[in-house]
Amino acid sequence: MSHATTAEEHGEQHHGEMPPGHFHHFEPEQAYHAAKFGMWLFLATEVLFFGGLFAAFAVFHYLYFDMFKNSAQELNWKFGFFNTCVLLASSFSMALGVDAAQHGDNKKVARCMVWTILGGIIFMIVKYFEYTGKFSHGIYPWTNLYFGLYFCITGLHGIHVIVGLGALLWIRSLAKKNRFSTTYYTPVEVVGLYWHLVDLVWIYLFPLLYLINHAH
Amino acid sequence: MATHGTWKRLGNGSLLTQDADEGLGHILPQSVYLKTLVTLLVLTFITVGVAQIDFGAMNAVIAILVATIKALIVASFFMHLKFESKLILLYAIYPIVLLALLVLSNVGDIEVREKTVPTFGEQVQKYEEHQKTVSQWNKDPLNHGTEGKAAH
Repeated sequence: MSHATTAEEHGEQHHGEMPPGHFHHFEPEQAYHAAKFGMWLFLATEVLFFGGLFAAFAVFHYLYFDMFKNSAQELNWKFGFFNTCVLLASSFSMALGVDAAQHGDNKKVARCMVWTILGGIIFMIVKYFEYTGKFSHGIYPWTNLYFGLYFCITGLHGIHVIVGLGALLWIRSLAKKNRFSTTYYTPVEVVGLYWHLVDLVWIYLFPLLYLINHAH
Repeated sequence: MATHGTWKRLGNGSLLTQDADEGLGHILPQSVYLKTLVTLLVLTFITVGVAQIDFGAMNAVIAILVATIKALIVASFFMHLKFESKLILLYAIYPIVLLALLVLSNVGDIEVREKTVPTFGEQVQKYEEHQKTVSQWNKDPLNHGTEGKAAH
């Protein structure tokens, strides 16, 4: 197969316009479904990543019930409650962003990303005040097993929020360049799935860390 | 079903596929997302309200139950899992099965272990009894069988 023939075939197929990366090797619909399936596989590993820490929390809560109970009462559920509402709202604006992308409305995608990013930033600011509040009361990750797990799990979750914020900024910049259409919006969809998973993890973290020992 | 499309770059920089009959994913009315958000916020208020009352161990059970309902709602509507293929559903469920196995087997192990394996105090007591028996044997090497039996 000569170089000229290949170039000619490619030229004919793409009308002289080449999509970025390897995209021209795939059927668009197949590429979309493969990317989405890949994201779900990644989310499965994420569930187990956090799952190991959740299992440790369950085991040590069982073994050292009083220590966990007394430590958990040091936390202020109002911070966690506020952050839960903020993350749920940002998940909502993310869902609207994906919906806008499905309708090919790049301007609305960019706007939705701004609201979602704002939610993530507010979440991290509240976390900052929670952490510094704990430090000022002499509570550190090495204080006891409960706070070790508390800082580990919420810290890992916070890292996920920061990574998510980066991904959301990337989506916003692509939307600003009008890169999405009704038939191509894969990045919005997979970043949306990731952001919803970060929300999902927090949905479990909030009651487990703040609430289950509150009334005892 | 969408026919096979090819990639094409439009003048405004967006990527389009030709000949695609329908959208790729599942387009829901926007009101669904608003209802989902309201339901999730109501459930959050409920779980906070329940946590103010002491139900003993049931506090944890209720909290996890409400969190699971919220997780199912997020996955079903925000993540479109309700409308996905069986393959994606399978890979969404299998890590949860593994996680349940991890947590339940560990908690179950501790639950049983506490009853079958002696505590440290019991182990010390057993060791001291054993030492007594050994010193008895050393004093009377020919008569260390069970009492009442003649030494051979």
